[in-house]
Amino acid sequence: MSILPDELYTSILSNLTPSALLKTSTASHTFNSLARQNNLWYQIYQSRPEGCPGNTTSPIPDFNPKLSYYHQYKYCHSPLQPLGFHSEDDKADVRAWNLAYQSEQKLIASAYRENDQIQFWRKREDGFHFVRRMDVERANCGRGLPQNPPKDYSRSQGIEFTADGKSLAYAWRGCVQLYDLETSKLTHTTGQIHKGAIPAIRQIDETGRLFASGSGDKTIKLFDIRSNETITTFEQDGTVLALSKLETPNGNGILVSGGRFNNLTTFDLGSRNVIEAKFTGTFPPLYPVSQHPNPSHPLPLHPHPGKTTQAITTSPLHPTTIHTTATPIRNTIQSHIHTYTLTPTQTLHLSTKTPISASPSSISFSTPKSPFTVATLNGDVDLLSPAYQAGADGTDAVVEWRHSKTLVQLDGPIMSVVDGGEEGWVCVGGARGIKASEFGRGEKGKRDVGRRGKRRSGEAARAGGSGSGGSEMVQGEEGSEEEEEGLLGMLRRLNGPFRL
Amino acid sequence: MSDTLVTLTSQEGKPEQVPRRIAERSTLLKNMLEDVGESNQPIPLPNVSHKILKRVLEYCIHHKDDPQPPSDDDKDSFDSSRKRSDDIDEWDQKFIKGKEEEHNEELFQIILAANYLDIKPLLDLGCKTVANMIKGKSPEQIREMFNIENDFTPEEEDQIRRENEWAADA
Repeated sequence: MSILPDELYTSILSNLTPSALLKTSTASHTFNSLARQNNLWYQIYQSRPEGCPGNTTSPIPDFNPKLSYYHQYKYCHSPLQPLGFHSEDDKADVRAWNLAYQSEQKLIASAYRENDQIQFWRKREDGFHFVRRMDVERANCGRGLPQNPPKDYSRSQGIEFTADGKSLAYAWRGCVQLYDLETSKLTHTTGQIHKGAIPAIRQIDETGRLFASGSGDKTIKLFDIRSNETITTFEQDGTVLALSKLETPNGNGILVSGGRFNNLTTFDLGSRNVIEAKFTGTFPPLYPVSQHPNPSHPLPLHPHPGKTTQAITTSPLHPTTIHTTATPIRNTIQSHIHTYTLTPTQTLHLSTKTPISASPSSISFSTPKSPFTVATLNGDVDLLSPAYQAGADGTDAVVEWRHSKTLVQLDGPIMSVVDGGEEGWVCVGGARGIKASEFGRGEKGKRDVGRRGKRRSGEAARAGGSGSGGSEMVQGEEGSEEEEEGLLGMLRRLNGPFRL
Repeated sequence: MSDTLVTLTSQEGKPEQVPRRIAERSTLLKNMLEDVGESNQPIPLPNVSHKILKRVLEYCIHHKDDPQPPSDDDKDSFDSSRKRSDDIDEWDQKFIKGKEEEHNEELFQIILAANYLDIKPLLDLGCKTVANMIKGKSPEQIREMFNIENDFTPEEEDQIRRENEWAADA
């Protein structure tokens, strides 16, 4: 029962500021729909004096024509933009395919499939806030590539912060570009080094110069992004989806590559040669030729028979340990998470393998003893927690990673996940944009994340000299008591002790 | 011409005589008078009570020398510039305030009359005044003001509050 006709209410509301307008929207259903009318927000959007924060190129860029002006304004204007804004109710087909996290500045960068933009979000005490966005510069990239690549997630483009936190590397249409975070300006570009999408880029030294990129053109390039010099090219048997670096005692490191080929490949970053990947441990069973997805293929004797490696992640505290995800090429073979540890003889020892029901796409984890998270193509982020067993020598060994909790569920595939470690949050990117979930902030959740970097270098120095196999997982005991809060602390409360 | 008197008949049937140039502050009456030409016929205004008509005419008399507002045909005028609700002149402020005890009811009646008679400056004045009242009020007071029920469930209310959080300090 209203006193005035709707158009007069609209005239009244057109005098209001955004905050007063939204307050009015809480009065009733009628007022809610009146206060969200597109023409009211169009006026507000057009008249905002300060332009779009963080956008350096155009004053009023249309982020997405499918968005209402209310959302445009909200998106563009408010520094208090909570994360997860483009979701179901926006009806906008915005896919955040790749995420990167810079823990010292608590900055999340998200790259999108539909538009050539990178957005930045900051984790603060009170949640996740939109910081700004940055337009990708074309800089002659993408020539010779199809204008509209097939709708395939291999179009996803690698994104990574440099070690010093001052720059962001972004793979865009065959190039790898380096942006200065302060000015949002393109500072370096490799030019077109790949003839396909570049799903994987990985920084491989601490100076922020050397990068490796893995591409749909079946090559891996090792290059110096500042001098724009390609150091070497490695051929692969299929699209490269994941790259990660393992530390070695000699300090050179090994680059591990995975993708749409039946193996992990290893490269010595010192000699810059392919080295034969050696594996030990209990591998998943081999399959009879008749059941193999590719019958003409010789029976493989490597750990990923007939599977695609979607993700490889090196433990930040244990740089000799990686988790990989293996997804069957066809749905006939179980998906697995494999955990390998590099032994002193530079053999990858498979310490645990964990079956997982859905196809995993990304892995994130922060501490060796705490659980890690796995994002899947059916829209879940699962928390996997370690199960320990006392070894004969009295130390604990992780014998299994168990599914303990689903942290996030999205209506659509999740392509990327980053986590806040002991702060107890995950942020995912996928077909519904990006979304964050805070689930278990421990009492020590406010701890300075910057310390991790220091500890990491100490760990790296000791790495590789401490035996092999699962026992590697319990090294670094001195760090772990602090690390137990957050993810681990939450699990303690949820599940009780892990010990078998 | 503008000195001739025009008779307006309110809802109650009570006639009110005003100079034509005062009546022409209303675009509705202006068009009507132009169409009818010279006539002594009273113009019935069944939607406007006598009390409100007197108030509206009071406004028109005060503003009789203002330039005519730009034609409303230009639809873009609505969109082109955002209105400011804090630039109301002193007389207007006093006028629209009216008598404290029946302020709201009368204000809405004036807005309705201004809309019906098509007196754009008065309509703007009324809308700005209501907007200013909204600014200082809580959602509950807004409901009281417009005499509306809160038809949200607690869950819906919570959801909207969360959706609106981004502009809380704006």
